[in-house]
Amino acid sequence: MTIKRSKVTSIVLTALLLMSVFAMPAFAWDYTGYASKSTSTSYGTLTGQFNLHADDPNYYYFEESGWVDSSQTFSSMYAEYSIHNYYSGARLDGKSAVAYNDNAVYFDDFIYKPSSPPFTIYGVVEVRHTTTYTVRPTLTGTYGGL
Amino acid sequence: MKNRFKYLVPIIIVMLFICAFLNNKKEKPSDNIVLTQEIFASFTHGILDPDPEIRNLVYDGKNVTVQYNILNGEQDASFGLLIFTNGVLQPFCINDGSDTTMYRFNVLKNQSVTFPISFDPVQLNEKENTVYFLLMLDPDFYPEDKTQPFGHNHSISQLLPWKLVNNSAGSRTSKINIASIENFQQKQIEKSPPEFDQKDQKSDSPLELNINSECPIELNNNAKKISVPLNISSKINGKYRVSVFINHEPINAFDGCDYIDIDCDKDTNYKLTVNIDSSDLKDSNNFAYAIAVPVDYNFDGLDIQVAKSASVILINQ
Repeated sequence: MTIKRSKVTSIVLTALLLMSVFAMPAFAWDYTGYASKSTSTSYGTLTGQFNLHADDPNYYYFEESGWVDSSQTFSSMYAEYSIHNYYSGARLDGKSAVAYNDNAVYFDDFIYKPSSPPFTIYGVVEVRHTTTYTVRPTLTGTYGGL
Repeated sequence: MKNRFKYLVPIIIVMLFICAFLNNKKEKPSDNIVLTQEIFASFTHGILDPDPEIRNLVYDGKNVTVQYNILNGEQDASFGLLIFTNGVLQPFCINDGSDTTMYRFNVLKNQSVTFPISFDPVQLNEKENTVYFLLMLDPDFYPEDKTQPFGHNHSISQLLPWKLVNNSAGSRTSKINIASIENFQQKQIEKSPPEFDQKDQKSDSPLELNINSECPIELNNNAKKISVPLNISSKINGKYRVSVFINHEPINAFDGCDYIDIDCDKDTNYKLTVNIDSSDLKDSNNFAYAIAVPVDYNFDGLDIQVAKSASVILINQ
């Protein structure tokens, strides 16, 4: 049986395509929790997003970001998260950040795993300019309590 | 050629399995707990008139009037509007109605609502004053289950501060008592490690405010008051006027005063113990939160914002 070079190439390309589809969540979106909310503004779309990574045995690594798809900068971009014990409702931790004369805001934080009960994360991303635009992503699930 | 490619297809299949295995090894989000409360997704709010580019209000002896607009996002929502003038809760009226300190209203999804706000400033300095407009999400929310967090409910969204120029004669101080941190006994002040990054103008939020307590806070029948820890963490130098609210009403939490002025130092934590009196509570569905409003705002500097603590449940047993 003779295998033509073009046939081999097409098999390889198809395989690579399939592999990339299977592998994408493992290699590119390396997180255990994700939430995103968007709203349209007169400047462009405002997006607020969470990523919660669980790779470290001791800590969750948490990222929050907010951005506007626009070259315009704003008086302030504000982001905040608060983490609550799912069962008691008590606030466990939280953090906020502000970026001035920018179109994006970002911060990261660590959540200590061994002492964390199951939790829910509430977030806010706001553009504070002539008008205030706000989105509020939420990450729900049995994170923590490991 | 034949021998060279004979094993190609099996190798590719094996690699596919390896990739699928790696993917399945990742910890997946577990979503077997679902919030019972729908989450507000997004909304836009601001003042249409006077010009929001200038953010300038003028008091000339008559009520200050603004046109306020809210454009709701993808879910029906209810809101509560609050105004602070120089850090003091400002009574105002909508459509020439009666005075209120919180205007509650509902907005359907994707609906835009505009209404006139009118107020007589409760506090006036001789020249410049600062007005903050805050929009609280679902102020009437109260968890059915006492262990459920408020979540996005009771959280505030704020406009950039507006300058209020006093063109009338003299200043006006209300009858509201304001305590000062210097004279307040139940406090602990600690320096915290600096985190503010001046270089790229990105930092932790200037001020964070929390009622640090077991949740819910329980006040039993015999107790006339309960002490609650209030933590204020400042990343910048700035003066704030702090008030504690029960069921959206300010209480005399600071040695009988409604407010306390704190001249915050950079990277400093202020741990206050505030007293909540049982007479401030209803029979059921009580909650508390604190709000810190910047005073002596510098309009040429960075935008300093209002901070609100998370709401906490109070149980009057």
